[in-house]
Amino acid sequence: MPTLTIDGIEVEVEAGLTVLQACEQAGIEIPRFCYHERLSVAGNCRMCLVEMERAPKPVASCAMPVGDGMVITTNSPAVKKMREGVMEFLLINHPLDCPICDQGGECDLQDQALGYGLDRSRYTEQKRAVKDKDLGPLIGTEMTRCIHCTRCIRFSSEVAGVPEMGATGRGEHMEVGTYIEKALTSELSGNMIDLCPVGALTSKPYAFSARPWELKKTESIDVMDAVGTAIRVDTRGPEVMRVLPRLNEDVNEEWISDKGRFACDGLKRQRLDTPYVRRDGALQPATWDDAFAAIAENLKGQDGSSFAAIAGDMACVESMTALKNLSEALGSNNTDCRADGAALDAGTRAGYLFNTTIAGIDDSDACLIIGSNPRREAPVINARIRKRYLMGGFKAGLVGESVDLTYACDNLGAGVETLNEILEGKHAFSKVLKNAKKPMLILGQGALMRSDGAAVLGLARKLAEAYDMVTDGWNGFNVLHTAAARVGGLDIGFVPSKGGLDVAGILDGAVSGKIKTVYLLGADEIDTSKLANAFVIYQGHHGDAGAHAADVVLPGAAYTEKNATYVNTEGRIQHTRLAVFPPGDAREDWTIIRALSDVLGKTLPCNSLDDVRSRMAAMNPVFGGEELVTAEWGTFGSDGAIESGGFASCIETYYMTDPISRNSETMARCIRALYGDSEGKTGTDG
Amino acid sequence: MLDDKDRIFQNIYGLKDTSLAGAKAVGDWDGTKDLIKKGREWIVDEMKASGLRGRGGAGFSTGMKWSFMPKESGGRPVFLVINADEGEPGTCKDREILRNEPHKLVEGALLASVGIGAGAAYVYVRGEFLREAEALQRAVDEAYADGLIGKNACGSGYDFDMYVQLGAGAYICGEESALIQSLEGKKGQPRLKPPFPANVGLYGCPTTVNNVESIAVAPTILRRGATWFTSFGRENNSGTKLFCISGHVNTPCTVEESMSIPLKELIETHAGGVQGGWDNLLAIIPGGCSVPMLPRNICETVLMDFDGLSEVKSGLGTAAVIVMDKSTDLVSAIARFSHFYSHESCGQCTPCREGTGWMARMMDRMVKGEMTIDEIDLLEQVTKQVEGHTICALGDAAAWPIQGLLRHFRPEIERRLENRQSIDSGKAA
Amino acid sequence: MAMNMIRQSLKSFLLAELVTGMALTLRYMFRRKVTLNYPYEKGPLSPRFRGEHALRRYANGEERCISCKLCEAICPAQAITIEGEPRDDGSRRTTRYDIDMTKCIYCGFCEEACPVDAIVEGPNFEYATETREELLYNKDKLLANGERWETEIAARLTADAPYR
Repeated sequence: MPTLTIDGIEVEVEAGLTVLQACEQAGIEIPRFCYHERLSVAGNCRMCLVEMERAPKPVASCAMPVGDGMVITTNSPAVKKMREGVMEFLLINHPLDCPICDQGGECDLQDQALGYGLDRSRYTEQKRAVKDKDLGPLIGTEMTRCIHCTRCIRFSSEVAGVPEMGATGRGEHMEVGTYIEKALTSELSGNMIDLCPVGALTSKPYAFSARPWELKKTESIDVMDAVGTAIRVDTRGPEVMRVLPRLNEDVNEEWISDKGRFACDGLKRQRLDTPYVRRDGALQPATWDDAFAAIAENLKGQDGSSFAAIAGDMACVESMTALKNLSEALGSNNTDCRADGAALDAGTRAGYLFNTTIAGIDDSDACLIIGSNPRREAPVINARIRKRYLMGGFKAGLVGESVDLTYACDNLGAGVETLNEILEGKHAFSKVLKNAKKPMLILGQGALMRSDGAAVLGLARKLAEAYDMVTDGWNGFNVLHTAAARVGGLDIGFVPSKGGLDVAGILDGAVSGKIKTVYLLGADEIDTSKLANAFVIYQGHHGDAGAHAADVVLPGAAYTEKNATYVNTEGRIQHTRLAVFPPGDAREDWTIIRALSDVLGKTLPCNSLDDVRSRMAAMNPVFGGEELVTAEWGTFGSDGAIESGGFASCIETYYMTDPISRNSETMARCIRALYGDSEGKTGTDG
Repeated sequence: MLDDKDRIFQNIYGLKDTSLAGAKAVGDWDGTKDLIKKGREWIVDEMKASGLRGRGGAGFSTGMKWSFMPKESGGRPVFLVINADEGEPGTCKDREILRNEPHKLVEGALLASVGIGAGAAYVYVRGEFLREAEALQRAVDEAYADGLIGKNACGSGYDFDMYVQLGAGAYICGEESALIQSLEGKKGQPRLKPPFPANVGLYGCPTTVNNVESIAVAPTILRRGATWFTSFGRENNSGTKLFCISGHVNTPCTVEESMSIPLKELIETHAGGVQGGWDNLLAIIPGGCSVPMLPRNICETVLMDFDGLSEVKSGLGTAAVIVMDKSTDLVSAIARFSHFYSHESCGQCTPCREGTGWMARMMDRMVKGEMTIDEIDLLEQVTKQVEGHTICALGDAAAWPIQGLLRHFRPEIERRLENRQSIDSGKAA
Repeated sequence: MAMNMIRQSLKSFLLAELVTGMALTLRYMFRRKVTLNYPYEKGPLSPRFRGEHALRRYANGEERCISCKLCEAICPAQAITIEGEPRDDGSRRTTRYDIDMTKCIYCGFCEEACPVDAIVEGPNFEYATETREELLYNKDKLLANGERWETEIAARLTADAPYR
């Protein structure tokens, strides 16, 4: 471990670190623009220059590897002058835009100019100006402000894997952009806004609306997909202004997918803020008492077996707990959280989790993807796989439709025939899996949603066991979820028990009349046309398909408006935090069910959030324990026959998959930009 | 004054046959096989002993550069890259070598490759040198046809290939790491050092980048011996050099002369002296536009070698001597250089990208006289802020000419600005 | 001691202080008065006087305010509320610019902070209202103020510019 002296302080650091990282460890701040921990070293801003003994010129500390016995000085007058010099150079062509620039208040250039620059400008010549580029509906550009740090270029080619950003021109006339003006196609493109140290790349939907000092920041979790990205919700009064990613090395590093970042403007439209009761064929606003009375009226005299509950993709564990308990109290076993019909087995936890964990991907050396498009279903996890791929020694294969995942991934075949070949050792990829030390497979909902889903699950388990994917300290069997509620629902047991009906059975029962009352907990991704004959209660936050089909609408809270528990695809138990209050009369979801239970005479024994969480822990001890635990292996899935026919991903359009994103203008603009006006797949068509 | 028999380049003016036959007639390809057989160690030691310093401008000991190459490349191929970009304004020596004595370069490439353990050499010729590249390619083809290079080069058992690649008009691609980037097909932007090309060079493999002249003189040095080479020039500045003399001289030319020759003697003997006589001399830039200029009093006595010129705060560079007589507007000349650097900056690092533009604009104002006296100090500070803080030496090269101008001609500049200001205030009144 | 007692008694009985006081008043009766006959006569105001706020425009009619929110941030009383978004032509403008004149302490920090001289405190102090709501100024009111008072505001700014 090399030891070096920085400003007289001796530090011992790991070999392979750079001087800048050693300074950070020693607690010494080095100003920089182009350096970023997760990108390759560029060394071109020259702001990190420090003096090194026996070096004729100052060295860029971000690029200089540490050596034993180095003596570094960062606080001498010479270094101070160097920083002033570089800062002066950065500012000579930089426009005087701070008042109109969105980055003001959170701008690296402002902060470092204040800390390390001169107090006045000496430049009296003309400044250069650059034409703005159109990068799509998400990223606004003011390229005159660009300081050419090349972070966006490196992010685009390294992390996002789409080499769309580059620099054309030489010297002062260097311009960063896509050259061919087109919208960026990566689902991670919004992260460039965070990376850009100045206001050259800004958030177009958020443009000109707020300053960072007036925003209240709340730490929460994203529920637009099942990754459980750590986010920070910035609010001003009752309005969510924007969503930014938070650092979580184990889940999302510093990234967030575009849907999670930009769909938050859907939180303002089509909100349910008052209960509704359907009278004379139309939904009329009502009071809570009216709505509960209507429900009680409907349930009077009904047998428990004619009551069913379906939990949607964004339901929190607390509300699912309350609803499950209420259903049991009513005598119903017809509860199911698998709205897409995926054949997930709630019996064995390891059978429905991303067991390798996202951080574990870094250790894998071979990956088989079955019926999934991770790039669309979980862009952040896809980026992690790409990160592993860039490290070298990683082979990936895909069974399903041929897609560009941004890393080399051989398309091994379309469907079950290929899987059988791999299992029997006859496929070329079999050898890859056999020779790998830590192989993994990723099974998507697209493969499990089919009618033979259980058999596919069983086959995947056999594959995992055949290739030693489950050993001590390593579990390479992974189910990739797309809904934030799914794992939580499976954990709390929101599945049919003792002869109860699953979602398909519930819907068929609604058609046949066997099921008279259906309680939809934010479930919009089901075929609501089958519910025409049943009495439908919809509890959710947006007026989407479910509310349109409902007889009673109970307004709940969206993920930014409640303190709730969500379990991500790894089985990690995380909590959202209330950033703003739900609009109008809407209430937190579990409280609605608790109040309803009172009216129905089946009062639930929980009066506070703590009570609910204790109940959750009682129903499944995993809720009272660590954030992330390893699941024990077991048997799951069936041995049935698998139909031929290729596996497909379960997501067609990335930008609109749930009520929030369907109501988001930003998401609509993305679809128009990337797919043109002709494609009308918005989910609420018809 | 160098004797013709001591000149390495016997056909630099192309007066004789430039083909393979002509090259052999002046002594090229003579006993190359034996030289190769003497082995890698001997070649490197001999080059070190000869004291040859890089002829591309930096003046780093060529033998020592070759000795930095790893003995075992660990499976990676090793490359020799020859820098024929010749972008430095005022320099026109490599072009003569490519046109008239290309076989010296081919033989030199072979011997150098043996010295560093390379299996192939790439010559990067600037895009503007279309004819010169053709001439070089002809020579390479001739050498292949004659079995001098290729498999079992010269019958020595050493396999060696040579390729000619054209550039596309960027001065920055004369910088060794930008040249490597350009060869790889990427944007010609210099890399950070460390890692050095000897470790991570072309395609990530160990590479040595040398100037055309350095390679072209290698065969003769190896043939005639290091001791012969050191018999010219002072200690640490040995050998002969091609000097390109241009500007206000009576017979501008490229001439091979001994190192450490007095500048005055060089100009008067070979270039017919300064136009209008020595007393008409104003300033000389001794090594291409990147080095600071020297006023007449220093030019009287300075010796043309690396140490001699660095002692007077200039540099030998590429030995492109630009002579300026009293009719020259020095400010205009340096302003033109500043524009050159601003245009050629690659744009990667902040001081060069922004600083060269600022310096060029300030020089323009100085030409017009629209500058105050204390702004001269500002200009000097700007050059100091650029110098030494950049990724490659283009930043230094942009700063030095202005520093040279201010160091030696400050009173004239101040007089010029005062005159202009008094004209202006006269007009206003 | 006896003389003192006599002097004191004389002063007391002859009401000496009263006479002194009244003589003073009589003296002032013949002096020039400093009273201003407001509202027909008003006192002089400095060009730096801070009165009613106004939002100014450029000479071509474009509103100056670019929604930078510096005034909102610096206001010690948090009297200014701003909301903004891109205008149809893409420029940065406010959609809401409210100053609660009952919170405002008339310190002039907003005027100092404004980088484009959009928000200024004009010379007007005669804007009393009969309801509290009328003192919660919005953007339209402030822009209207600006139109009404622009000539004088511009003159004041020119006069004070050398000292800012």
